[in-house]
Amino acid sequence: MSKKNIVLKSSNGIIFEVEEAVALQSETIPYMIEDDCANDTIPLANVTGDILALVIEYCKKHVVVADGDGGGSSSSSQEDLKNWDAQFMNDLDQSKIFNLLLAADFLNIKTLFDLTCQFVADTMIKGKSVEEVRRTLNIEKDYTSEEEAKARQENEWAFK
Amino acid sequence: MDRISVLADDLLIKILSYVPTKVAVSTSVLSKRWEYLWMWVPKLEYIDYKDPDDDVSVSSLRRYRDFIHKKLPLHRAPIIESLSLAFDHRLFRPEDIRLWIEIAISRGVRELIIYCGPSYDDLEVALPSSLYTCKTLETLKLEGTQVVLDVPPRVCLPSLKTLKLESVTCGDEDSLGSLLPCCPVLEDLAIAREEGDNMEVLVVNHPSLQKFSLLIEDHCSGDGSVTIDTPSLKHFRVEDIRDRFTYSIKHMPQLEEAEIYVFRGLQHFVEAITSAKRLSVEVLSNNDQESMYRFGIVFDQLEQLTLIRCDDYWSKLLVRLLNDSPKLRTLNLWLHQDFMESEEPISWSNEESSIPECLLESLETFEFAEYKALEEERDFSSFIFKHARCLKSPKISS
Repeated sequence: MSKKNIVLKSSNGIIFEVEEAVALQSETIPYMIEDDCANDTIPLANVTGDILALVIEYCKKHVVVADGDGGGSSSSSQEDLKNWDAQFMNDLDQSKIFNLLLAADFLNIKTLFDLTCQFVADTMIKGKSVEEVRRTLNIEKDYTSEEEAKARQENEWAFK
Repeated sequence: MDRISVLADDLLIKILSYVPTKVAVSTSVLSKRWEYLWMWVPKLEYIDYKDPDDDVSVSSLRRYRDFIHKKLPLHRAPIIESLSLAFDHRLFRPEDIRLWIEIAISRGVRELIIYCGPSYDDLEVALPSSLYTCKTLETLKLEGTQVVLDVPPRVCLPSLKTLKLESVTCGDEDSLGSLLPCCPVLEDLAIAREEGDNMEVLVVNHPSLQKFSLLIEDHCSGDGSVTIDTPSLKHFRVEDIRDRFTYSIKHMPQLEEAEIYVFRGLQHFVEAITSAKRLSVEVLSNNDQESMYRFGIVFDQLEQLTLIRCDDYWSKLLVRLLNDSPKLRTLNLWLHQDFMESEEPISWSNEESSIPECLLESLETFEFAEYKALEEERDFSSFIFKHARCLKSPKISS
């Protein structure tokens, strides 16, 4: 049985041909297939090539394992996948992470979206002081000192 | 240009739902944009309870309580999907807790987790009656002897799938009996009993329950009885190390996994669980007839058996189980942390005239953990290696 392929085109014109099962981890793509002719290229106007490559790398990894375990998922493959996910995220810089999050949201790939949100929460917010979070996320402080003191007082519990 | 500013508010809120509420609240001082973002997060956990022995000033606890009082009614997320409350200080009064639960209920709560620590002592934490008719509630976890499950006459929990009661006190002996029939889609029930919890007579009847876990500590009274009628059950776990007990359990034809951890009295359970595919057994005291079960039982679906060795004579029960499990493929022998070794070495010999069918036909995997080379262990393993014809991957670890 020949496997059906789907052609995706990034915003900067890069073409990716992937197996249907890989692409269908996105809940958005099926609607695009229905809208267009199935043989046509699916244009993804707000995902650049480098980010789409990452999305596909993730989907390929996850589709193989979902195929391989035949229903009774073994703990070792789940464990391997978790380690792979951690490594995958660790290799990315911050701008790629945010763009990946946007792409996962747009393409509606729930596990990738959860993974990126969790990663941002764990590495950029949790366990850091307010100043560190501002620095990490490059957030401009637009409070005056009085306003910040008031906000701190209002939410004092969170700083204990 | 801050890179995170490319993300829309709904994505930032999503990210904030992955940090504890306390951390999310602290982001309110990052910048004006972030000031109220945390109030849109649909998951709230006020679980920052202090150990009463901790050196926490009453005034700081009071400010914490006032914070919840002020912010929870104003929470902006249209639906509070999940609310966790954990307290161990009487400053968080039962009426406060009740009010906060009511707010969550009025906001379509799906998951509610309540813990009240020992500080509440003689103070009852009654749950609001609106909880018992909450249409959206899917998960309810209650913990603490002062949390009272006082089931009103009118109960309807049409979405409740998971119910976990840990050391909770029932309002009366019928509380659970009147609650369960009003939870038509309940799948997962876990009960951990405590002495004086009004559950001495425990009746669990449910036509579609999939998973049931029961824990009864040894200090609970052995009076009363446990009656279980759950024909759809797939996972059954019971840990009851009381010296005596009475169980009456209907057969569970859909059972996939059973875990039975008892002091003695295995015979109360075996007839109900003969359909299990996977079985874990731990009998603390093997050296009496009561630890055995009647002849004629066959585990005709059983593929995987785990036996936890608790004292000498474990092999007697094991040989019975092997004889009664004709399709067994995997056998694991683990060691209880408080293994009781007898003074006399126990020699073991296969008194049965026949070799268990599963050794000849099906047993492929054998794992013997924490092997100490005691006589009983040596005898048993040589018996396995002599007769198990299909063995593929035996593993013995010391």
